[in-house]
Amino acid sequence: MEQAAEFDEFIRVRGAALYRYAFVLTGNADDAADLVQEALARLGDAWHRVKRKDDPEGYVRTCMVRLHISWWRRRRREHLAASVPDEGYTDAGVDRVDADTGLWRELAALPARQRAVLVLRYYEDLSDDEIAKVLGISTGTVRSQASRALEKLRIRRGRAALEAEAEKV
Amino acid sequence: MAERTEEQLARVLRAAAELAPEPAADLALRVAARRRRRRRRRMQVLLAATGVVTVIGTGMTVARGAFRDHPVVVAAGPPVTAAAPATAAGFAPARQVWPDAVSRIPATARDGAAYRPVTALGPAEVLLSAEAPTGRAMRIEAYDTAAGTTRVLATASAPAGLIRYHVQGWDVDARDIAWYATAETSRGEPVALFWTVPRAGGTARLVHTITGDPAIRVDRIALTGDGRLAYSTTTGGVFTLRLDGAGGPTRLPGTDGIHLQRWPWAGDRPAGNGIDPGQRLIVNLVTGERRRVRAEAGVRAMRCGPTWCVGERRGADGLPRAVVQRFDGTQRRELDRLRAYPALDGLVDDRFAVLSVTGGRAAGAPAAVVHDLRTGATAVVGTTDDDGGTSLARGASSPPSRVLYWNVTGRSGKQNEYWVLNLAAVR
Repeated sequence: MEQAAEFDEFIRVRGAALYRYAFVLTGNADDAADLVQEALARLGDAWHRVKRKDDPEGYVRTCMVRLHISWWRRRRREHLAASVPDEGYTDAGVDRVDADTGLWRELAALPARQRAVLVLRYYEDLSDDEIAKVLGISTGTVRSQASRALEKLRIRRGRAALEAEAEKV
Repeated sequence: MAERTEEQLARVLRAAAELAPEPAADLALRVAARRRRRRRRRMQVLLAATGVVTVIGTGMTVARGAFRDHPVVVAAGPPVTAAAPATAAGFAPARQVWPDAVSRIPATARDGAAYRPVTALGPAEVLLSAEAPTGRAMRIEAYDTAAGTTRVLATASAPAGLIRYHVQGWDVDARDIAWYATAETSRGEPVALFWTVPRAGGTARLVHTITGDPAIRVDRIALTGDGRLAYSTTTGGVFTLRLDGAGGPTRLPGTDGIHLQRWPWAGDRPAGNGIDPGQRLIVNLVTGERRRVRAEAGVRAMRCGPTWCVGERRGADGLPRAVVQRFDGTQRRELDRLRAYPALDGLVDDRFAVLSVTGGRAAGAPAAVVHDLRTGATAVVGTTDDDGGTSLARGASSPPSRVLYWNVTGRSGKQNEYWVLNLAAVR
């Protein structure tokens, strides 16, 4: 019973932040709710094991980003959509913030993995190596996905970032 | 447009996070309900494997489970996320509602080509494309759902020198079958290719190849029945091409911002493009008739056949409900527990609407339903698997396809068959 109480407390304390993360990942409230519930359900099933390693938050965040990509892949395939996002719905409030750049709206058109890479890099502030670990892909793939996504969004890389990348190659 | 910066991107993501709605007040309860469902399903699989519940039909097991799981709602105030826990109870599967219209078809041909249902050729015949793994060679087949046999109508291959070749949309009329494909030249220039073959079968003909922007950004095609093929572009505008291959595209006057639906009807919404705003205009491209859609405030994702429209509206209780009405706003009704399914947009034959179930994609919830506006019948289509992924697709035709299909799932775990619902077989 102790464990269940701990888990519920985790949801109570971290629920809102995880939900915000899900919203940034999915781009809409309904998918965010679905994603956060599913990831928490999996965390609950693995609570004993994850708690021992002391990083439930990392576990659930990784789970969310991976689930998001796999759901998106499946839906994309099943809906056989030609080239458009399934849902362009955004909250009216976000639209206001986005009025200048239109970026939020355009993010919806990115494939889930590219969007996830951007969210991890620019929202979670993770390094490309850390992103690679979360997504289970190589650092090179992280970079190519990121630059492809930035190109689509017509975002100019800062000089510092480009130089840092050039050094690593 | 001016270039943007990484700082702008970071700012937009942070702002979106700040503006995200609050999670449901009963998040912990919802998570607990989901875990119970998963545990029970695992248990059912285990029991089924040991033969304990062989006398109980699957439907019964699910219904019982769903009933037991009816949630205790303790939400403080109206739930913001509207992810009301849905259960399978209340909607019967299409196989029960329209037994004559549902059949199983192979998902791959004997030679390994992937079948992709396009639309119905008749109540017992479905048009299939069979694409080789490379996507460059395609066979067009008519599948007899009663006999379980297939008949090859034609074959077609991507012209040499083109890369990224993908067959996109289709249309069928009494005489012809038409489809279009998108590709790129080796220099990266986009190309649209328009093909036809007689409906009875024969030699596929590449009738037009168009290069250059924006004419090539096709969103739908339609056969006009008088020797022409129409297409609309993602930015709006309807063009026609002669099927004998003569001449080039001719833009139809007065079609700025207009997208094809089913000839001669068109509307002001691009194919499958998001939930908001809904369709506001219905246009007849032959007579020039323009119908304004009258919808109540707050209705979104509206999609119309020529006469009927379906959208959704969030009620005072915070829950979205599907809205069905005639285009002029009359005969309006709301459907509980159902909402719009913008990815599968458009009414089929001005009669059938694909709707999603509120809270769908929760494990164990039905993926979607088809609602028959004429009879009021509602049937579950698609499947939802353990991690909430749904399997449901509409046939590949440009006009809303009369065929919906989804994976056959079974204990074997192999997905080499589809369930196909042929709406042309619903009386």
